[in-house]
Parts: sequence; C-alpha cells; structure tokens
Amino acid sequence: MLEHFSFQYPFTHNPALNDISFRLLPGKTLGIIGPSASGKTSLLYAIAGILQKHFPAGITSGTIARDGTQPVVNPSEIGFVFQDPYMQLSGVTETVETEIAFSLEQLAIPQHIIRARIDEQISQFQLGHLALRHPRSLSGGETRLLALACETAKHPRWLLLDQPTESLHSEGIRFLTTLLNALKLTTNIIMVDHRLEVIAAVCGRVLFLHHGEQQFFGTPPELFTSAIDTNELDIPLWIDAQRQLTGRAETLLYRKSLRMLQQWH
Amino acid sequence: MALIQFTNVSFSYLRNVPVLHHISFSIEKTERVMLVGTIGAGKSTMLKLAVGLLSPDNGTVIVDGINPSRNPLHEIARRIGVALQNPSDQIFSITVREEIIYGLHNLGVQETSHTLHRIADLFHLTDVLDKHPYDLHPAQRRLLALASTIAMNTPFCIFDEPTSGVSKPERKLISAALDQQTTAGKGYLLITHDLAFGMEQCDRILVLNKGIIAVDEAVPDFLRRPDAQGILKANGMQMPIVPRMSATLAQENIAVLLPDFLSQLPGKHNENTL
Ligand SMILES: Nc1ncnc2c1ncn2[C@@H]1O[C@H](COP(=O)(O)OP(=O)(O)OP(=O)(O)O)[C@@H](O)[C@H]1O
Ligand SMILES: [Mg+2]
Repeated sequence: MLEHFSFQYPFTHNPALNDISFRLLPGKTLGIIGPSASGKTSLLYAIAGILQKHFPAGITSGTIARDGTQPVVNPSEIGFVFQDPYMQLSGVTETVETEIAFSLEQLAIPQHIIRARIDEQISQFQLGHLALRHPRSLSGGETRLLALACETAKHPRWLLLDQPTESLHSEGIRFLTTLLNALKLTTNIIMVDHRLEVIAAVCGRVLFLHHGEQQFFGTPPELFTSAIDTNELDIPLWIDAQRQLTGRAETLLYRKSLRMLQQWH
Repeated sequence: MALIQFTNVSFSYLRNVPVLHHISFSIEKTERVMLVGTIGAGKSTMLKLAVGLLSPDNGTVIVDGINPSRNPLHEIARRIGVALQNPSDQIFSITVREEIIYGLHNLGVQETSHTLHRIADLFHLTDVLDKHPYDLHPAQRRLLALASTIAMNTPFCIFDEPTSGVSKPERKLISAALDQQTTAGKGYLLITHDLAFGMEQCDRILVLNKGIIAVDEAVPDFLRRPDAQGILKANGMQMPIVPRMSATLAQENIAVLLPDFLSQLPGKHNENTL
C-alpha cells in the first residue's frame, strides 16, 4: 500500500520518511519499530491521513493508499491511540463514561448503541470502579486504559496505536496483547511499540525504520534472524541469547539454559 | 536522620476510597529505592505527599526535618527534585535551554551555564537547546524532564516512570545519569513498572499493595525469597527474565555458568539482578 512514499515536513531540510515501500495484505497486522525520532509516528499519521491534512505544505512523493485509495481522515473508520494518553482526553467531559460516549457521539452513533458500547468497554478494560470519576483524576495507567477504551469502542475498521504499552504494568501489557490478537480477526491493526516481544506476539509483519528510512520489512522471525544492525532495538533477551549462541560451539548447558529462556518467555 | 519519613500516613481522594492506609517507612539521603505496585496503587500519590503537593488525612510526612504541606513548595524543591509521570505536566519554558535551568533560576542560582552544558551533554540535548520543548520527540521530552530535575542539583530525586516511552538508547542515557547521581552521593526513589530497570538501578524495593507497604526489603534479599515471583504476580508484575532464569539455574546447580552466559549478552546485568 506504500510505494516509494516520502514526506518532508514544511521548513525542514530532510525527509521525515524516505522512500518507504511495502504492501500489507488484508488481515495482516503491522508493527512499526525503530529508535526514537526515526519516523514511526509520522508514518502512522500518514496512514491515518493526518499528516497530509495537517501539513498540506509538506512535500510528498510516491504513493500511499489505504484500502486502495489515498488515506483521508475518517473518524468512523479509524481508531487512533496517541502516544500521550492525556492528549487523547477530550477535556470536555466530566466522567469516564461520558468520555467514552463522547468519542462515539462524534460518529453519530445512536444512543442505545453508545450505551451498549460503554458497558462493553468498561467491562473489557475493568474500569467499573472508575466509571463515574473525572477523566483527569485517573492515574497514569488508568488514563492509558481509558484512551484505549475510547478508540476500541468505535469498532473501527483500522486501529492505529502509537506505543500503547507505555505506562502499563506486565499484566496490562499481557491483557493488551490478548485483546489485540482477538481484535485483529476483524480489525486492521498497525502499531508502533518499543516492546518487540509485544510486536512479535501481535504482528505478522514488522517494519523497521531508521532516520526515516526503511531498514527492514518482513515477519518478526525474519527480523530476528536477519543480519541487519538491531543494536538500537530492544530485542527480547531470549532471542538475543539465541542469536549470540548460534554459530558457537554450544555446550549442553547453554542449550539447556536457552530452552529455559524460551519456556519462560 | 532519614531524609523522607512517612509515619502512619493515610490518604484518600474520595471518602470511602482509601488510597494509602497507615503507611510508615523512611528513606535515607543516599539510598536508591524502587517503588512498585499495580496500576492505580497509589505510587504517584506517595510522590505528591512526599513533596507537599498533597497532605495526608492522617499521620505525618517529614522531609529533612520539615513538614512539606506546611512549608512553601520551594523549601522542598531545594531538597528533593521531582520528575513527574507525565513530562508535559512539568515543562513550561519555550526553549529546551530555559527549561533545563528553570529550576536553578528559581532557587536563585545565577551561574547556570556550566550546569546547563553538563546536563545537556549527559542527556544528548546539546543540539536541540534552542528548540521549543514541544518540537522534541516524546522520548526526548522525557529526557528533558529528567534533565531539568537533575539540573536542580538536589541531594535527592524522585522519578516517576522515567523510562516510560523510551527505547534502548535513551534508557542507557537515563541509566548513566542515575549512576552519576550515585557517584555524587545522591539518592533517588524510582517509581516504575519497568522492574528490570528498577532492579538494576536500586538497592531496595518497596511494593505498594492495597494501600499498604507489602514489601520493604533489599533487592537481593527480595530476589532470594521463594515467594518473590508470587508477590510480584499478585501485583500484576512479572519477575524480569534474568532473575527468573538465574533462580532456576541455581536449582539445577549450573549457576556458575550464568555470569559467563550473561556476559555474552549486551546490556547491563549486575550483581543485584543476578
Ligand atoms: N484527583 C483524584 N480524585 C480521585 N481519585 C484519584 C485522584 N487522583 C488519583 N486518584 C486515584 O487514586 C489511586 C492512586 O492513584 P495514583 O496516581 O497514585 O496511582 P499510581 O500507583 O501512580 O498508578 P499508575 O501506575 O497507573 O500511574 C487511583 O485509583 C486513582 O484513580
Ligand atoms: Mg502513577
């Protein structure tokens, strides 16, 4: 869906995205990885259509398509979870419930369906005890869960997530991984995250960006066995161990510890 | 005398929903302590109590001999530097340069250029000093918040989720900055969901569970406890892989190989996590 796509922000000298090409087959989930400032969020914005809309003076070349046409911002079709969950809050509602309702009212969804969706999300994210609390009074992790709930409540065709595991604890991350794996059966998911173990558990394809350039596009196992420099990535320890030991005269014990590492993972 | 002393502290935002329940602990000036607990456990609340942004319903909080809620904020600010969970809550200046020295100016320090350059260098912010903080990438904004906290040169700091949203290169910078604090004889309290990072950077662990301090122990002692994994699990946390691995290997009598094995891996795995 992207062919030689490049984008340069207005008043800058270098492209933020440089010659990105990949095709994501229907039903495949994409993880975008790379160090900070490598263009991950820009790419997510481009796929959402936000980039082109907010920076009409930006320099674009190549083609980008979502569902076969140029992406436009379409809130009824896209759920977008921003990296900063506080930024996601509307600021106009007084309770967690009405915050979820607000995100749906934008889409002109009938009231009775909104009610059902609120209940569905509150139970899914276990927010019952917070339902009547002010969105701004939530803790860091609770705010993240609310931001996720507001977007999944839309039942979007596309769910784009920018570092959704941030401010969650292990249990929250495990919950999110399971949720995304269930959602991907009906939703196109594209996510940016530093946690490669989550990307590997959710995404069928991974795109590795560095300085706006595409270093790699393929499956997670292909990435982990490829020869490209992944020094700046958070490669999971057990995969790293495996790579370090490949090609060495492994002792029995090494192999044993390796097996254990894998089991634990 | 302890730097931070909580005695029998209780706190709730809403009546009938207690967040902290008769909590007592103390932290010395040079200690490196991690505070963990599930989402909404009350960790950030403890931070706010420690620096006087909230005052306890019951019990007392004493910082370096004074009561934070009865003293002006700047009295605490010269004793404890704070990096908030959400960097946007603490960044107000219009350039990175001003943000880093903002706190120092507030404390009346005139000569700031040496500190500015040392700290900017430490956090790799030298090239962006004239940028607006909102033109930084989120991970850099996190570094900026930490930089301006450390620039205050307080004897002690509290960091709320310092590694949230950052990737490996920034994590290394943060780790180096914390180590530098230690070398300078300064302590810190690290609030974190990132147990591997916490266990590498801290000597003592506090687990906050259902409003009470369920664990207050030296990290190596905690790791040796047979129920350590269970305690973490009950709090929604997973034991980092290195201690989990080493525990099993020790049972199998092949612990000697572990340091050798780990030395093959990039990253930092020190005595504590072993
Ligand atoms: N202003 C407020 N009014 C009511 N409840 C609040 C307020 N601020 C926080 N709380 C609640 O107090 C509890 C503790 O919040 P706190 O922010 O201390 O949690 P935390 O341990 O830092 O969690 P996290 O890891 O998610 O950041 C949470 O349940 C939170 O919803
Ligand atoms: Mg918090």
